[in-house]
Amino acid sequence: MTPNLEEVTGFLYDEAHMLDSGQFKEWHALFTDDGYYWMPVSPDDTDRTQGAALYNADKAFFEISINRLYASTAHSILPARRACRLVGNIRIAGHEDDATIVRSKLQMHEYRVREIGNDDARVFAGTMHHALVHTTNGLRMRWKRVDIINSEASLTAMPLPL
Amino acid sequence: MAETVVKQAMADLIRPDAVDRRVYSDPTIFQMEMERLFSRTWTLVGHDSQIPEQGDYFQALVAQKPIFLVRDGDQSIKAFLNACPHRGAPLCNKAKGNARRIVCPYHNWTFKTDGSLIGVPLRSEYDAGVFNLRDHGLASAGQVGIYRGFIFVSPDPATDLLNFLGGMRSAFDDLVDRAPDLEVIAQPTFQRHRYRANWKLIFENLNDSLHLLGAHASAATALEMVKDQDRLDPIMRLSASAPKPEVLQQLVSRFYRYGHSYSAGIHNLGGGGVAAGHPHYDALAAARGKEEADRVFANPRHMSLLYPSATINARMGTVRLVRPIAVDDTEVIAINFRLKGAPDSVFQDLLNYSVVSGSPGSFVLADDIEIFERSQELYRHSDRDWNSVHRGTALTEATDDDAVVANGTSEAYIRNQFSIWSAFMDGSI
Repeated sequence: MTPNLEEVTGFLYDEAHMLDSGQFKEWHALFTDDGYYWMPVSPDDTDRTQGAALYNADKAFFEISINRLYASTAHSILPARRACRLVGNIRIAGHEDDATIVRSKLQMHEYRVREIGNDDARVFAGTMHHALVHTTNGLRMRWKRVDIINSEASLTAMPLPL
Repeated sequence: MAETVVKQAMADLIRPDAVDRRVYSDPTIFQMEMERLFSRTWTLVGHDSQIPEQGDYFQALVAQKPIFLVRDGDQSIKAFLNACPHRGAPLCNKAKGNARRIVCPYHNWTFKTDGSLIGVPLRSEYDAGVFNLRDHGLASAGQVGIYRGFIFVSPDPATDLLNFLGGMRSAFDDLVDRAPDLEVIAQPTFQRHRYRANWKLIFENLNDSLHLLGAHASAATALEMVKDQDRLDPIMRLSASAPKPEVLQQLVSRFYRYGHSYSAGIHNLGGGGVAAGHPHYDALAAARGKEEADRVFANPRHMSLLYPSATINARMGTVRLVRPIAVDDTEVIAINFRLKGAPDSVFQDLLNYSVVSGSPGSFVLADDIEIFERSQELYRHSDRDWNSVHRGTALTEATDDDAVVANGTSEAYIRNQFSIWSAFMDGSI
């Protein structure tokens, strides 16, 4: 049974809210066991084993990044970074085995207050692809790929996944 | 500024074991660094394999000046300022490409890859008695030097490339020797990041074994929290691990005359453990013999710093170019190499390691960047405040050929960086 547009839209909205509200472990659990999260540097990359990336982690290794977001010594998220994600232009782009490939656009505003110096505010924009599969627990991500429009730029730290 | 004044000003900034914080935040000092340090040392800009064919070019930045490197018809590599001699428009506008003839996009002045001007439109409007094409070729960006395929540029070298590299040549030897066919190929997509702080901070950080305990405490905690440890790749696990201080004290650091240094000593920290049965060892032994494989993989070296322009991680097949953009802005560009003749799994390891150690999304890098940026914010407001670089002065140092050998937790390599920094800045080199 393949999910329809309404179902995948609900999933994407819930996912964005989960990330915005800091439920990173719950979000990490939305990946299938063989799942992975990928943000390639080159928008032309089709094979995640062949090129540089902003993020490229299978679910097991990704757990380190996720755990760190809860550590009291994670300097780059102290004080916490707040984010507001807007997801739109959602389309079912195709199918891959039993997964439904969903294409959408993401805008994410990120902000953090600093006691010393200027506050940090920035915006990310790009295209997301989710490979969603039905499981007994509901929809899960087999993979998620995010291509921000400035992926090839030299960016400063991005501790929050998009 | 009279040279005696400069000498005194520089002497006032650097003490044997302390550094005035204005060296990280004063824009005038930064400009002096461009003129006196970066224009006279050799900057690593890339690798031979990025421009194999005639007309292949890539852009680079040396002492803040935009330049490009191009493969000429005689196979040599030339470096030119990326500005048309006519009205100064940039000639190359893509990061890399191929052009048999270099044509300025503004008024179509046309150059050969050796820099000579071969055509200007409306030639009849030029006074042939005054304007000779030969006098208006591309401006050289300085001398080009090549070591084991790595390309260096110096606008006005204080010494030749081999002498400048000194014992740090071994970092490049180590990288290339790890390729079973003795050839490495630069990958087209670079792993970049940026931090809003002074360029020197990365050079003071990457041989600082002790910062693992403070800056990267969260990575070690996060690693311990992973439930299913068996599923973690050993190379990837390395990126998050933080050894105990007494383990770090077993490290050694070696440093060289022109400010270069590396730390070494504990094989596992550098991602060692490549022995018979490992696909990389076996490929190298098959190509060049067991003895050579043993020699190459016995090298327990971690991060090498080529002051003031690059870092080299031979074990992970990666070279990082450090580009000062402004006094408080630095770009870091990692080039990953495929080792010719090595199995694909070797490339996978180094690529994975590069993502987790050199990408903006890295859980290691994020905390280094954070501490650099927070510090820079304070340095900006500093007036006669001092950074201590005293650690390790209670320990003895030894010399070994052209290197000084110190304890791996010592800040001796930072003192060494500032010793050559002062010599360039006050004009004694």
